Amino acid sequence: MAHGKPILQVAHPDAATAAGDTAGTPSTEREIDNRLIDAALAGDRSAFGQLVERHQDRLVNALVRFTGSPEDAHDIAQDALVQALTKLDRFRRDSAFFTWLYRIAFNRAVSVSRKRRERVSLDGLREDGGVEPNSTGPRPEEHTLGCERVELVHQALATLAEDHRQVLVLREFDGLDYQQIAEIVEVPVGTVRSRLFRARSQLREALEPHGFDETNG
Amino acid sequence: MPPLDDNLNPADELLSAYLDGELSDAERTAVEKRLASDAGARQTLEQLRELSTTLRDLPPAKPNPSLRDAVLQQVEQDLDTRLAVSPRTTNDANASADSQSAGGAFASLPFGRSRRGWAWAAAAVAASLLLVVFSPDQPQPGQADIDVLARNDVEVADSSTVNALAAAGADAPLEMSAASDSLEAATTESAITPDAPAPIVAFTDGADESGSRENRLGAEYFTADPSLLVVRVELRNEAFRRNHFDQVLMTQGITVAPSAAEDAAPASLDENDSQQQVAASAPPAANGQSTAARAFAFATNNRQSLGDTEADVLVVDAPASQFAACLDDLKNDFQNCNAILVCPSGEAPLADVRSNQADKRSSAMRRKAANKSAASGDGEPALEQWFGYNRSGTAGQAKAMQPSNLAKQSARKSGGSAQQPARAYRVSGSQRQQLPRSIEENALSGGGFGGSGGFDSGLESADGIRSPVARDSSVVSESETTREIPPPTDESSRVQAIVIVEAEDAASEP
Repeated sequence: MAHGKPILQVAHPDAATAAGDTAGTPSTEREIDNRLIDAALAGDRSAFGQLVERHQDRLVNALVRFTGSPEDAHDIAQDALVQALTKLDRFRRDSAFFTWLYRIAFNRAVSVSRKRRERVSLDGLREDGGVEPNSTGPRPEEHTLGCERVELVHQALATLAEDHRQVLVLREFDGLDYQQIAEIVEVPVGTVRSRLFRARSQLREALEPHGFDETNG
Repeated sequence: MPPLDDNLNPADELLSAYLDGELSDAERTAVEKRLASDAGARQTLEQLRELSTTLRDLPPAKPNPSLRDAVLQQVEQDLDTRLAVSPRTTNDANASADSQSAGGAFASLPFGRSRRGWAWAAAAVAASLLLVVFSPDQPQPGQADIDVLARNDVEVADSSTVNALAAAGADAPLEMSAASDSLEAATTESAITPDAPAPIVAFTDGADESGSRENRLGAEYFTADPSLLVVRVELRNEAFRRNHFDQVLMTQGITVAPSAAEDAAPASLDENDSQQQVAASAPPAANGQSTAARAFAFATNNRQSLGDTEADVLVVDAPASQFAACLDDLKNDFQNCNAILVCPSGEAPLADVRSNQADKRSSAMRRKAANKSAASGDGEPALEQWFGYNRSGTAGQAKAMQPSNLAKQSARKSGGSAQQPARAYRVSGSQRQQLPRSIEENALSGGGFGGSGGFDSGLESADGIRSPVARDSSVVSESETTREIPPPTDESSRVQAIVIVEAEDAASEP
């Protein structure tokens, strides 16, 4: 059994920690954001910079996983951050700032992804459903991020439907809980659960030929 | 390889959620029972766990070091651009003098853009009404109808101000309580005295008494004219593109003038007034100018302050029952409408008109109100069913979306209210192209909740792109629309409203 974890372990040991950094729950994080937002709205432009610094790492990471392209991810992250910061007056604080920011970013990311997909010929896709790089897949510069393993994962992620991939990224790379994901994606929690399961199942199949399932394969 | 779904065991979905700690107690118990006896389930769980480990062990992608600076630079440029293109329409030098030099980052933002501001406009309304209506500097008849006011920060507004307002309100020319009791009261009671016309709309500004601008988001507006409503409608993007609000109006027999051309302006608008001077010099209602005309003049002169630059702004002049039916239609229309915010005269936005309880201004209460059953097709729509209605982020209500709601719109058209005169005047916003489509098809198009991932309705807004060709449809057939302008009737049963129609925006908060 991997890592010696008990079979009945409920969740990832780092799930709570990861979620703890997110928009959602810890009031302290949310309060910090709200204080920075107040400061920004009051004219303290340094607060903008602090908001960016607080969220850019996780946002970019999630977008890289979602888009498979660091270039696209940075463009989208920049657009989303700019849009959020220049429209802070629209932020009602019913949810956390990060949730709001993610929603903006992923709306943009899905839009970019779909437009890109529309330009892609389906001829390049393998009929067996295996991993095949396409325009949403990693760019050459992706290699600078890491090893072949990263590239393969990104290629596998690229085979997922956008709505499935999005949920998977938000859960696995950001550690968001289902409710937080539901708020960002704007679907019921039950839909998040269903999509996540399907995404995991499909990703597992896509990665299996590449030896990602050695312990059970 | 067979389709993935053929290989999926629905029961394994619980394993996935179990891994995430997202099961109910009963589900968790059931899963653990299965795991104890099912080796296959244990293997599947372990595979899912391995997959998660694989993903989470990937080295994080780091942002470019230049991202922060690039964002901040663009933010600065955007704010500066807004500052340059958002001149104020005001005759109050105190409020506008330092707009350029204000330290507030949002000094350039147009008024009235923040829905959050609606919620805490309550104190602003109180403070501003006090200043507008009761202060020694209040405009006299014949002077400006529009005031931009210095406003104490809402959050530190002391109770003495409110108390003073309450005390003064006893003798006020404004019927503050009318709107808080009901819309009907607000639309039937004449509360403006002939000698002391109230400003049709007053801005509150984010400046404190010292002139510094600690929070520019206080820039909101409210109506001080009991017969005037300010309504903000947030449509889904496609609905906005196909002028859905216009269609709703027309469905209820309210004719929409095509543009802000002079001939489309409400009657009695002073032809000699230049566009810049209309609002300031518009005579009060008692002197002959209709509320609709004043509303039109105000909306024209303060276009940039009222909403998003791409928002449609209309002035509706119609029987109250017809306009209420329009809002009720929108309220029932989950597919096209996200939110309806109504600000009656002198009353804090988002308040429950009927009960006027401050604690009902929370979003939770608005959503609770949204869960109430739809009004029946006969009789007046219940006010609380559409007032302050906001369904954003309440995807669970998708079940309430029924094609019958759309069909009911058409059915209601044949009712008595449609026979009354009604018209809307477009202040700004273009008449986008519409493509006819059947009601049923529209109802089943699935552009709303639940559907295909929750992004369909928001994509274009995320890019700020609006297709010149509407992809969706109108629920109104040609035969249902009318351009015939009915003759004027008794104003007492009518309502005039400045309606700001905005598209669902990617910046909207979930």
